[in-house]
Amino acid sequence: MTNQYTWVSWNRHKKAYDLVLAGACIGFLAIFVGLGFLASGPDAPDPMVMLIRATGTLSVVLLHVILCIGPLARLSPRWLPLLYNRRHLGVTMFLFGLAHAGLVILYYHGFGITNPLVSPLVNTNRSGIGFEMYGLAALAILFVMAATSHDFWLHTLTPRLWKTLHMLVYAAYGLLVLHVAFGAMQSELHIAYPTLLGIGIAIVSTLHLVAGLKETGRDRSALEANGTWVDVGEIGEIAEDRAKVVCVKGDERVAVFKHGGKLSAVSNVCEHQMGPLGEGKIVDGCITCPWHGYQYRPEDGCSPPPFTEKIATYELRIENGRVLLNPEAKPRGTRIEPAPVPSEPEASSG
Amino acid sequence: MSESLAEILVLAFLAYAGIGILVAIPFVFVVVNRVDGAARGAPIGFRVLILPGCVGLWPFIAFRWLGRRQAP
Repeated sequence: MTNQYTWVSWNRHKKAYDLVLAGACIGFLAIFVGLGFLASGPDAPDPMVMLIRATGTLSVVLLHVILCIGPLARLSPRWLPLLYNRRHLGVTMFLFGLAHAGLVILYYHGFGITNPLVSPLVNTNRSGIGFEMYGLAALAILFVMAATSHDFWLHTLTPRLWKTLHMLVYAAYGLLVLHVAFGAMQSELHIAYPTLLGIGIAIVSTLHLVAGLKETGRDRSALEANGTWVDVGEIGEIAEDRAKVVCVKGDERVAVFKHGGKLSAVSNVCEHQMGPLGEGKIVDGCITCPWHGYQYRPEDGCSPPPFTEKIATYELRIENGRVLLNPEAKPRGTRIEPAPVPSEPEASSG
Repeated sequence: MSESLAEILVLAFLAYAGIGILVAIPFVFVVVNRVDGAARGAPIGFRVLILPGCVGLWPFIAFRWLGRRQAP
């Protein structure tokens, strides 16, 4: 589905999402600064210091939200719209982190005798730790992620390398936690700071753990094979124009779609950005990736002309009302005749 | 970290970024059209958006560029 690049692929939903995101960020900054001044009274810090704290906090909060979206979407499809627009959230988070770093360099390092770019590297807090180094390292990772968020990079770097690069978000998260722990929490000794950070870490960790356990359980049940064929489940479990995803051979996932009274199985991984095809639906006779709308025909895994993307297909058979899958993937783009769904009495009688 | 080491790191960073700018600008406005067909005729906004990444990942971009030149 290699079309001409645009600068941002906006649609009505993405525009609404971005407007809500912009409003939420502005609201957060206004409330943070306003409450900060109200709570501090006559001892209120310099407005620039307040803005530095507000942008840094907003960046950390946004990173927590970003990290929660993935596992939430795996636990419930109602979170999928947030997942599909996560890219803009990531770039926004980086921009606020960059603003935070820029203001810090300007305000705390811009007027000394040391070069303002050198000063953060030699600066240490009272515990002797250069906490700004952690923040700069996290910012460098987040820069690479934000700068490579366009589809061009996905194509240029290849989906596998792109995905690996973007998994560095967890390293950035760890560095940011250290940055906050050895930075803001050393100067602000109120119990609220470690408590809020601890709650954030606990939420992110728990959601990842619960989503992982749920998927592991689902995969294990699917791997209870019938001979060499994998038991996908009952026909009725698959809704019309939707899919059920099963795990075969390690972490390979297969999406079994029902369309027009027939079943087809394809790789769950979209060629474009490794999006989860099984969470999408069939639109105009084509499996449509929920992330960016890339389409594939269910019977052969090929994108409709003039597009050239192809994904692997799998054989299916139906026995006793249950769907069985041959876990051996056929070469990408191989046509496999869809398995007709038997009528109700036939399916139940087996 | 000592100040002299920090100065060396900052200089290295600035040199890396400077070379990145020199590589990225011709790549983004000319070479990318030959490397990726989907970039032909793409709007200026697209080129501006990929520019920071080209500066940051310029060794990768240069490798792609040179690889393209050496291809038969």
